[in-house]
Amino acid sequence: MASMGDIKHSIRSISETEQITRAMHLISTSKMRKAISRYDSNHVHFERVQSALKDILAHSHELSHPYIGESEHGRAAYVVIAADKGLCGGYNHNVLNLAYDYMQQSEERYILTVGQEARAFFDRRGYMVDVEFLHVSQNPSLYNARNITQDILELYDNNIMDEVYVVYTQFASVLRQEPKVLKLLPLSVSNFENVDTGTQYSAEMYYHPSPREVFDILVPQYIIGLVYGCLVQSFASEHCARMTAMENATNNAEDMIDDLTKKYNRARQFAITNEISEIIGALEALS
Amino acid sequence: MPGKYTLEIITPERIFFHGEVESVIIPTPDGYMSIQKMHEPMVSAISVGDMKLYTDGEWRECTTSAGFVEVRPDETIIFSQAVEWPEEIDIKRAQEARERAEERLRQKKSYQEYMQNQIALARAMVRLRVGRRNRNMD
Repeated sequence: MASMGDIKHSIRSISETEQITRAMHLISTSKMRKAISRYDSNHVHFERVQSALKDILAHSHELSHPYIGESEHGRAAYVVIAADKGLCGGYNHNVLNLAYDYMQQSEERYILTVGQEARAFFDRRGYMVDVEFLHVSQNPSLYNARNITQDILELYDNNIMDEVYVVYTQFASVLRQEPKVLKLLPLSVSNFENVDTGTQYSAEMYYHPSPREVFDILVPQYIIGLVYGCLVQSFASEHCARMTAMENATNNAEDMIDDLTKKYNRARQFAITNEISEIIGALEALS
Repeated sequence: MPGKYTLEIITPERIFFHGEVESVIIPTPDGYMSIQKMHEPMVSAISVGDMKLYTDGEWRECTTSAGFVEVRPDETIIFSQAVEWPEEIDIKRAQEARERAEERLRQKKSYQEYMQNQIALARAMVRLRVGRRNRNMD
């Protein structure tokens, strides 16, 4: 049986860990609430802007623009969104592995990362990270989305990359988050297979002032909206994952402390019994 | 054609407006455009400026950032980065943004940054204009 001192020591160290996990759990809970309220106000836009674009493309035949068309897997840029910190269960692992697997189909890749974990992941695998956005994963704002969009469009406009993808974690519920790959550019109807436009009609769209000018403005706006949505969803997912992970860690720590306390009491009882029997033994020997 | 139709104004941060209107006037790159009931299906770019809705017999004004509008047979949807009612505009913040943008425009920067600052400046100016106009009426 372990000595009382040893047990006491491990109880103390576990309760210190428990304090940390408990604090992280509380922080994540409050951040998660904030993130979910942002998600709630964003997800309508996120879905509607996709269905609007599908609708627009469906009613625009004979339209040619650099942002529109099908592309073969050639040179692709990937925006990978992960967390700045670990300790959030499988969150980083899931989204990064999906990104890694997906990238294998491109001949040439250009990697843009959001979050330090994403950067560390690609460094470990010997991939070069081309652009790193700092302090974005903890603060999904339109300003950040604009900056990311600007970088993406620069790559695309200068014909450095043929395709642009964003890899993010889709927020389904507090308990369920799923990593997803979303194709940003070029636009084609096949990008929106799972999107419902909610309306059926067969007229052609009229563009004001001209198709080219409309798409020059519309596409960057659309991408800013999507990138912002992806950032918000990833942020919400991260904090839900961390909250769950930290809750489990706190519960485990409590169980271990209970266990160790029992062991400690048993060891103490054992020591006392021992001492008493020694004293009695000594008394008997004296008399 | 007079009559009401459904208009939605959606920004990444909230649903700004959802309801019936008789007319909406939007700023496009080549001037203001009014959309009324039974407009043909159309897509148009929206530039930074002030936007007006005609609903329940009165005109309501708001500011909009860049975006686009989709006119469908069943409804009209406006997607914009930010839309605000005059009472929501923070004049002080807009003023600071304007000064910041002007300062950055003075420095020689790349074309991309120039365009971005130009837009930021336009956004600040229209917020100031609409915000002030409404405050004076009170």
